[in-house]
Amino acid sequence: MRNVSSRTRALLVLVNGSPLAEEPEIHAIRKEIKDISDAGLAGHRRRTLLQAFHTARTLDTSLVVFIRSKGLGPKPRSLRESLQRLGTRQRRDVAALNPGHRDAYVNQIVHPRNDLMHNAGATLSQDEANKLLVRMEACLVEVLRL
Amino acid sequence: MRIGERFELLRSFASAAATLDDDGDVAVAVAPDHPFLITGPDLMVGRRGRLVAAFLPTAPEQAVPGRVLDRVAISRLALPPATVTVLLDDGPATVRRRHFDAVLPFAAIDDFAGFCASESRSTDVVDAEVRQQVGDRYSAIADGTRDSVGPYLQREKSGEVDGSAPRVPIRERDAGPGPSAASRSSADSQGPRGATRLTSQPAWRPLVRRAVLRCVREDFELERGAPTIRGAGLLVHVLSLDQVDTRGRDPFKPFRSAAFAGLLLPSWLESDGAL
Repeated sequence: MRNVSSRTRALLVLVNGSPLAEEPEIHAIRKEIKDISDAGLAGHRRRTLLQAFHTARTLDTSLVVFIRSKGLGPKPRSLRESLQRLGTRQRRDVAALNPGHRDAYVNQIVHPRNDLMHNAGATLSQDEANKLLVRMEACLVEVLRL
Repeated sequence: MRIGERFELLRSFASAAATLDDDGDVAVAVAPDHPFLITGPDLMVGRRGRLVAAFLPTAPEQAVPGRVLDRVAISRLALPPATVTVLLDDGPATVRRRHFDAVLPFAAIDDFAGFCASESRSTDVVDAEVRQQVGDRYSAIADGTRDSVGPYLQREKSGEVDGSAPRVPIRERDAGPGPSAASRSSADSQGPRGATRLTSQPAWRPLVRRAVLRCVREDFELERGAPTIRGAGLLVHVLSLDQVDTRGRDPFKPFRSAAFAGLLLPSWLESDGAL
């Protein structure tokens, strides 16, 4: 996979330079991001699963920690709930995900991620994996700019 | 400055910042691959919740005073709102200095590390309302339907934006001088809504990059380093290309980064649908 390390390096810099860095989960988030790069060394099937797995955990935890650090309500119980929370403007100094875009993230990330993670034997083609990974990355950096 | 020299200089600054690393607290990226930025900072350093974005003006940026500020503006819109900026420049002091938290000459490598280790901030945080409007426009373009882009058109047609003179809903736009004479000569027809249609465009990435920066220049101005919206409101711009390269790990990046800057690439929508 091309450019995995340059993208994950950018993600690492961004979370390190965000409010997430002042929360205790930052060490686990950094480890997950490094594991995304390391997963690139595995064979195709395991690589796509591992990259999706580590990216999903990075996104899940980062959104929960972001919501907490910005005081946007109680801890969400799922990625869908995190996205719904972030799609509602609650504070004047924190922007919200556009509702349409929030729904697109639910359709393009939550559903395929759940299919992949909760079904025995489920796998992704390289093209499907790329789309899921870059959408999760885009979702994370969009939240960090809110 | 040659590309190699430029890269070596950035690596020197990056290495100096990396020496601050204690327990993984520092992460550094030269030419960071940000999902929303087809052009952005040359160097980013993240440490303990503080993000430093450094800009080393290119030769074309040096030729036009203030031109580097377009890149600063789109970067600040895409990065966390309190991002700190540094201009790496050996040139004479100019008015643009006020838009950066620090301006360092090329020899000040140790000073850069010290700046990354500090907690100083001086320029303004990007206003949440600006961030919201940019996100909403991005969402509308990413969705790509007439319904989503429509409000931007209706607003213009009715001229209801602060009573200002109506502007063309989706404005005709060219991307400035093309990358080569051959590619320029391929501009041959008018696309939808008067957008310039370019055919057989081999160097689409520089073209999109220039178009993005031109949109930024038209839509935003900087106030102490923080972008604010010019005039009455954000519009949707159009650049019609026959081909956009969809190879690579992130095939959405051209469209996503253009959309984030308010630039719709219709041919991308036709080929790949929603973002």
